[in-house]
Amino acid sequence: MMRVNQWNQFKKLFGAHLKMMFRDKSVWFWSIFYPVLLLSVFIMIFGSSSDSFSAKLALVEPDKNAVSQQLLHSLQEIDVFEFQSENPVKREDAEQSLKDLEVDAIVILPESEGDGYIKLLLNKEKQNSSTSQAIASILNNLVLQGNMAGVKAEPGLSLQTDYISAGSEKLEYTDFLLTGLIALSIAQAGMFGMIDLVEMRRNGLLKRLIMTPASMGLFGLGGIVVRFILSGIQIVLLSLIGVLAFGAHLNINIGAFLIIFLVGTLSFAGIGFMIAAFSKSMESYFGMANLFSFIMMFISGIFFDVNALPEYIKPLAHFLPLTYFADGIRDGMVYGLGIMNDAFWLNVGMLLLWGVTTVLIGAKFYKWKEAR
Amino acid sequence: MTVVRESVLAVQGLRKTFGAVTAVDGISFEVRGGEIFTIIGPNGAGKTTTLEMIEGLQQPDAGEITILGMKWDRSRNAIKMRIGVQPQTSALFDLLTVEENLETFASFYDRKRQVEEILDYINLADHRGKRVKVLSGGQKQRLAIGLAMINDPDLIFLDEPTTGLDPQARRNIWDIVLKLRSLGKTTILTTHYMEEADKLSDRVCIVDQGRIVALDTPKALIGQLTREREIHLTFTEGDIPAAEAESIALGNPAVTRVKREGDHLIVWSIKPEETLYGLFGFTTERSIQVEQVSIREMSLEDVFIAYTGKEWRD
Repeated sequence: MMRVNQWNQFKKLFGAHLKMMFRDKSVWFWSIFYPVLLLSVFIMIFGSSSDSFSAKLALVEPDKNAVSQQLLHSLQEIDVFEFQSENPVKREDAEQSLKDLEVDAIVILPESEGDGYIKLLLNKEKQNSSTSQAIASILNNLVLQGNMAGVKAEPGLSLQTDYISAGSEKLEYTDFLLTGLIALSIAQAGMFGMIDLVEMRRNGLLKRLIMTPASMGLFGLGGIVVRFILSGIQIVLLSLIGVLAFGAHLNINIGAFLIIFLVGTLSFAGIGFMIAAFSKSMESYFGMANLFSFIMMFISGIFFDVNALPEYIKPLAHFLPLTYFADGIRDGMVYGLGIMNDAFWLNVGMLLLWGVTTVLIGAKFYKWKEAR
Repeated sequence: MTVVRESVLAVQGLRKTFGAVTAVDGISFEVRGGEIFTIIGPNGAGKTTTLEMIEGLQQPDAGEITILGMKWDRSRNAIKMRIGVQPQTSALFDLLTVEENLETFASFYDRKRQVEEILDYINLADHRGKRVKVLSGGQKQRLAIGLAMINDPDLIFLDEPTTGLDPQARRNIWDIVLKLRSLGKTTILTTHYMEEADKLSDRVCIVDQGRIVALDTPKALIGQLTREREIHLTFTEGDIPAAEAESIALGNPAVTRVKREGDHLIVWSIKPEETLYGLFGFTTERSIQVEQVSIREMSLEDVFIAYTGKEWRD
């Protein structure tokens, strides 16, 4: 008896998925053209004005002393800081400048060697801005370093890393946005892509396939491989445009990047599967997928940093999978961070948790035939 | 090889309930090799549930299904290899071409027919490169039947293959179904059209409220229904001769019932020839002119009404 050729069957099923995906004009629009459009528009609007982070400070030195002098030198060495004037100014003048938004912040150096306080004055109206946050974070690192020096301890490796990534590395918005949009487009392709499951149930194709001896495992595998191809195209295309047209900087750690890419693509497909399980029609599917995608788009750190969000929304940002996916993609593509750090495993872990949970829920509720 | 008219499908005591509703309530029948076996019934009669249990999509609560000597629980894959199904909904890869659909389905089976052969068979060779979504309803149905034939199955299920098609497209499908029979294939058909059941079926099974109410050849079903025939007469000179003819008809022992509407007379008779002979004897004698005469033949529709008490709706 002739045997069914499994490889040939896989090729046919994979081919069917491939054609279903790339003959669908909406896939070209939403998964390929739309992210490119978003990237271009956002970089054109926000990219040029904030090419690299910098802040203008006013320095106040109430009383010259050894500690204040040392801090003054350290501050002046940080090249993202600009100063209102070379020498410290009077506090009253500095406060007026801050109110008039001539400077982003005022740094008041310690009054005496024993004071132990370095004060940072920020404009109340702008206290949540990313600039304020960044200044605070850089100063914090500076103080930490100063303390280390004070107790004659060698600066630890982690401190050094923190200092570099927060301060002197070029944290360009283009890089931030590019990697965010790569994460977003893979996430959206996954969440919206499972519409096939609703459509194949509606037109009875899924039921029809179950009535053949076709391996549903091979059918599913074909679909997954095609999803990876689409994700791969999105990454290559967006990266090329980002690097060639907008001068983005990539520093890719292949291992970490590939793992986060695989896990992320599968997790968001899992979320799409769960949405499909709860959708009776294409309309309800798109409604739900849009809702998910819309919420995540703005609070998962795609267009601006999660730290810039109001406090009460942050817990939600730390719950959503896209936050971790965008972080993971950034760590792997821009910072070149490998897999040997906690952040990587947190990102992978959260994505796996989302993926496994949604697939389990989806599998419980998905019906392969239309309810009568 | 000799063709043995063995049982291709045997269904015994099939039962299925959904909550408090009994959808299928003890259905048994046997389908022989090479026949076209048609299942008809009103909506909600349990047709679809019965078919889905036979096709292995639903687990019966009770009863036995034997397909080509095999059972679903033990030979699931072997049965799937040898049956072909054309479901009610189009169930095609819409973005693939006709040919790609056939090739994809062909890859599922160990035994298969040439795609070329199927394309000729379903008369879609000229449209092989077209994507399914641009095909007409009739072309889609033909492709669905082609997919059901790709593995050269011994048993084919056609679930309402002509619903929603225009008369020409419907006739094209009939040709394909009759060709299947000439190839010695066994077909299980459901339909909404009595004319279709009458033309195509070797045997018809009428299902109502989850039970089989009648099962026989269309001819036998109509024949055993009643001998009574409906005779229509219209009189040129109006009501008076019609009323006179009515009283003559009532005197005829073969007549069971008479109804008159003005100049139009309807007579039900178990011996229509004898009744007509008497009526025309009277009209000739009295020189009454008869404008129209007709005898309505009984159809499966009447059988359906007689067994289910329900009006047939296309």
